[in-house]
Amino acid sequence: MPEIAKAPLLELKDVKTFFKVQGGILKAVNGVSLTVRQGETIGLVGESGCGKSTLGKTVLRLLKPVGGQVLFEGEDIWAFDRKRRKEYTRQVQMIFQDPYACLDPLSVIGDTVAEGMDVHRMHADKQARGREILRLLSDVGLNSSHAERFPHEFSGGQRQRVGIARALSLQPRLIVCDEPISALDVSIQAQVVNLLKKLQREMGMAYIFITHDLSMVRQISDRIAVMYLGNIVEIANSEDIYLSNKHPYTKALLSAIPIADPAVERTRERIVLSGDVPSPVNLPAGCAFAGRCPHACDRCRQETPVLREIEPGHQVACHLAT
Amino acid sequence: MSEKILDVKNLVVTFDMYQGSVQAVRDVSFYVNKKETIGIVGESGCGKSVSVKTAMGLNSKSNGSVKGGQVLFEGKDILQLSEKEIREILGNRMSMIFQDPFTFLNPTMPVGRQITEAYLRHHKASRREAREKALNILKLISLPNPEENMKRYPHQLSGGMRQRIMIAMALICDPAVLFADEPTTALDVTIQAQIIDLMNDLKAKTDTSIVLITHDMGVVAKMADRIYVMYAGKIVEHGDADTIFHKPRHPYTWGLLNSVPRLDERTKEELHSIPGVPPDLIAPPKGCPFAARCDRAMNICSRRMPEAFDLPENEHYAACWLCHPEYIRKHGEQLRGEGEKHA
Repeated sequence: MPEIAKAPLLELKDVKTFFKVQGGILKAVNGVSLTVRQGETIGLVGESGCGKSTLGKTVLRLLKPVGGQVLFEGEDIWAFDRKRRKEYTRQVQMIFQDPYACLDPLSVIGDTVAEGMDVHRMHADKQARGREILRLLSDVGLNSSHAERFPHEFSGGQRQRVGIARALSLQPRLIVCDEPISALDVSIQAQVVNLLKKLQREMGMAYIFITHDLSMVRQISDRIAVMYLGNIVEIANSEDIYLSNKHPYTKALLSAIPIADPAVERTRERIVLSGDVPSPVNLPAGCAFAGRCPHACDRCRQETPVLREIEPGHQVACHLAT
Repeated sequence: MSEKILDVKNLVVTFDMYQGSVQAVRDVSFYVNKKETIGIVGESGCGKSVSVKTAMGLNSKSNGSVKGGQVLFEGKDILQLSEKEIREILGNRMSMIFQDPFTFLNPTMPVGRQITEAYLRHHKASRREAREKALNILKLISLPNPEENMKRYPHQLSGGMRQRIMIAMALICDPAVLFADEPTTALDVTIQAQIIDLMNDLKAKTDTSIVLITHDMGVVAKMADRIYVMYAGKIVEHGDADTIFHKPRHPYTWGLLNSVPRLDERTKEELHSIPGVPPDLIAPPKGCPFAARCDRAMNICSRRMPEAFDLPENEHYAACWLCHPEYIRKHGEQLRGEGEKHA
């Protein structure tokens, strides 16, 4: 489907989410603008502390931004009335990183999956509820006998499937997946990514896929946004991020990932960044990446670069990118 | 032929639990040469950490978990030593770095003292000499401002710096073998790249051999000279790094390699995944433990455990019936299919 045909589902306009901390203000998300279209997957990648999870929580309406707007189908999510607010909690769901911590150890899986449906009173009678639970479990590759079991009887991959079934139970329009595969083994990661893709084909919801794993996110995303210290530094179609990236941070991030082939690794040129990510409290003036950037010039240290389009659909926040 | 620093032979480790005994390590043998890095790869629960901890003498015959085998290190069998003798070796001739440096470091003590403590434990030296030694190590691993940072507490350092401190503690006594259990898993990719470079650099500068445990095929490709692939408590394939990546013969190794998307290749529509989950090691299957998940499984696979068959490349072997000489004579060599897919 051509991109223009897909209507925007969620729009972030210059969103800022700050926290008060000792010693200043932590600018976790510092002016992010992003559009998520119906049924598409946006990959949000970056290192720890870059604000990707805070952005996810802002989208879920769990954190109130200090500036900017979050629009869902054109409406500001903070201007919702009570009824619309409840509806929003149904339409937007989340899948968590830790499949061990996100399930109630005292509830059987069936009840955990149905909890959201119960809150939203989606099923008139017990039989319909039971049928729905079984349908959801089979959608995510579990079977009916699993409904009566407790979380400790499941492996990590199976638990993550339960988390997915719970998110699906409310027929959401958007699912925020916060590092959904990081805690899983490689062979299981691939199972979960394939499952998420299959469900999206069948049900058409959009995903915001938050991760630090650049090799897996490519498999699932239509577009990828690279974040650094609270800002999106580059956003483009998934393949463009890998094949024609422009921002020096994106380049460094990709070159840091080892390729599973010793022969390739021996000859590959790498950009190894020196130093660590600076603290997001009291950020320096200019480009936040300037301190670690191999190409930084005076302009970078004084003037903050803004996202600009250099090719259709490809935006970069760097003075030097052409 | 270079000399073997550590030689683990036919290790068997089980743990008694309420439900029965878990056969965590089932007849595992591996060795490390001087100045060499070996990688042990496998998924969680495959027994890689247990094998290594046993090789360090942390599971002993006395507590009943080690059922058989030998660990030869500097002329001694680690499994026969007393706890006191093992304490003399650990942190001194053998040391270890862990996945999470924050839980490993003492939060109430400046990191400099934690490094010197490791040295003073094993050497008769003054605090001053120990400090000198620590500074040298910190310079070797290129920690910025070593003098300043030695006075800091763990929470004042970044993840990458804490990992360097832990490496310094492990290296201060010039160990013969350094065990690294998922050393970069908790780090960001740009920091991971720094630590991998650092460890490869150490190999050139010191005589230490490294035993790397990881599930990340990318990390192992960058660091290891030889690779052991473990599954369900057994080593299913062994070979040098190039052989394992370019001519793997065990279907589990194929599966592992195919499930990792490669940045230098175009994306495929569907990622290859290995169906199912690893077997329960309380009652491991009689035949090949991978047979239930293997798309090449034959009748014999679920009945009899294949032994390790030697293959033409240098020290390459795989425990798979597809590598049986008779099978190869009839059907030819079985190699990893590119882009093999599961329904």
